[in-house]
Amino acid sequence: MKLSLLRTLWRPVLLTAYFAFAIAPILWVLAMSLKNSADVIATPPKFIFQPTLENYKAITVGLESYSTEALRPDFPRYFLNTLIIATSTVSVSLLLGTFAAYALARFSFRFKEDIAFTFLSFRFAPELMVILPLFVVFQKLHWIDTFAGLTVAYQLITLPFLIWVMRGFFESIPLEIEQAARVDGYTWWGVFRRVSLPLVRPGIAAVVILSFIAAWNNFIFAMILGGQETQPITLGILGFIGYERILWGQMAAATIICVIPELILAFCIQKYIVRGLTFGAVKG
Amino acid sequence: MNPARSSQSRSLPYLLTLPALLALLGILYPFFLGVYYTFTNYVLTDPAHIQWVGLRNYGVIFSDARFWQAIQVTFIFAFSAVGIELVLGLSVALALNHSFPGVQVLRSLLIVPMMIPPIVSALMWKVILLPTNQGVLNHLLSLVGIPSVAWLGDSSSALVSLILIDVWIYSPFAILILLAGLQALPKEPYEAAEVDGVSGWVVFRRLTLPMLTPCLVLITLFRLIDSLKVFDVIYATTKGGPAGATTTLHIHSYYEAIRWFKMGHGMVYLFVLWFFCFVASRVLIRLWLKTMMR
Repeated sequence: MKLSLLRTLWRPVLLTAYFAFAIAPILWVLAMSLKNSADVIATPPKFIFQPTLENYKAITVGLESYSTEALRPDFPRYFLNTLIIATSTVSVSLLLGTFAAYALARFSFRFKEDIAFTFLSFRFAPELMVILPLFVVFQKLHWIDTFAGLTVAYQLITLPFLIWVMRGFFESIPLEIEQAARVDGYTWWGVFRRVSLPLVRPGIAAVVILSFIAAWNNFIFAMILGGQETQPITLGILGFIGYERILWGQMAAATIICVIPELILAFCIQKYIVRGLTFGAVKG
Repeated sequence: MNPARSSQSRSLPYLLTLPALLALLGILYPFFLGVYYTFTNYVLTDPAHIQWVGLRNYGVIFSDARFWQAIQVTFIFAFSAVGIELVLGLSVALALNHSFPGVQVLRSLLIVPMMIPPIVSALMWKVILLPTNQGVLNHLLSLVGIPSVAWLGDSSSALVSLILIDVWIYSPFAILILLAGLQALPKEPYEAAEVDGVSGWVVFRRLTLPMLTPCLVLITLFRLIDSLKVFDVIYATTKGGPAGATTTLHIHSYYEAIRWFKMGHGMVYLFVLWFFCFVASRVLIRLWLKTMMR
């Protein structure tokens, strides 16, 4: 009797507990972002309050009291910086990686697996192992705090990922289709452009979005190799709780604005997420 | 096929991978530069006087108690986080592997914690875990009579709090992979087990678990290595404190190299961490390939 009760109840109990744990913090931050500056630091924390958009206004257009040039909010610039870094990073990776992925998927050549695994191995290396020496190199080249420099460095995040996942997509195209196109007189470029590429288009979209999110979320690269001019959101948000000020409400509003574009993109490619997160190892 | 064309097609794969290979060299160069720095007295503020000192940095660091503490913290964090994520991931995945109203919504919600930048998730939790009644978690606990905990602020609870945050961010990763694994399982063995009247627990032990092994190894591969080299979550919350209770190898390397300018020492910490990650990835990738063959 007791055992059968356990058998029917474990599922709803576990799922309720887990999803409460998973979702509550996000709802709490959403609530914080809608509190005024007094409510947000109230002790004990308030569950019932008059919602306000004050924080969103403060970080986007600025409050009236901040209307002088020097006090204009930095957040829009952080947002734009992040957008520039993520877009240029993914574009370069796509350009370099698509061809490499296709070659690794379709041709056999010497050192092929060694090359592929060397790419992969940097996914499993501690970031600072490469970034700190890169910092020294970048200093000599005057690449610190430049979008070009960050785009180069961010390839470490997106390029191995893109090559491995895209390779899987190209490999899943039946060889016969490509061979048939070759027989019809297409060169490899014709086959690649007219046959293979259109077939993997949905996969490419998914990889682009996941790489974009990875670049968007990165913190450590920008912390070491970036600076005032290129500061992305992830560093900007940390600035809301500096030594001289702790603006929990604005930090929460910045968090919500930072996350919304990512979630919209992620929901569009739900089907590919498992495959993407495992570098193509799980076909999901 | 004429000879000219065949020679072109032989060099073609190299031509296609060349740009990516150059990028790879761009990564390998700083890596080996970093290894070289471990043998020098490189001080960040004095780049003109880099001298080869052999194994001296290694000697200094291996006899430093902070190094061994950092190793301990790194491994406790990584193994606890991965262990909890595997068990929790498997239980939730099993619970979600049924059709009931709303199951699709729950599955979609799993994506949310994973897509938020880890640094931002950590900050979110920092607010929730504020000490005394200031933090919402302590407030809720006080309502049911549990005294407040300092969470991230106390050296006895800081590491546990960080593991909690890691579990929050990355359990969905384990759940999603295991769900995909569960859905790909063949139906026939289960039908046969039902005919034979085998109990649910035995079916799980003898059928489900062995068939899920590749998924479990894969989750361990990604999660173990990412938690060994965790940085963002700790930097945003405790910065390694209090009193080094959450200083992992990665965090300590940052202090040595960037805050204290001792590049040589920082790189030794990183090289040791890299070695652990490298060995773990080799072993787990091989294990994964082996479980896939079976």
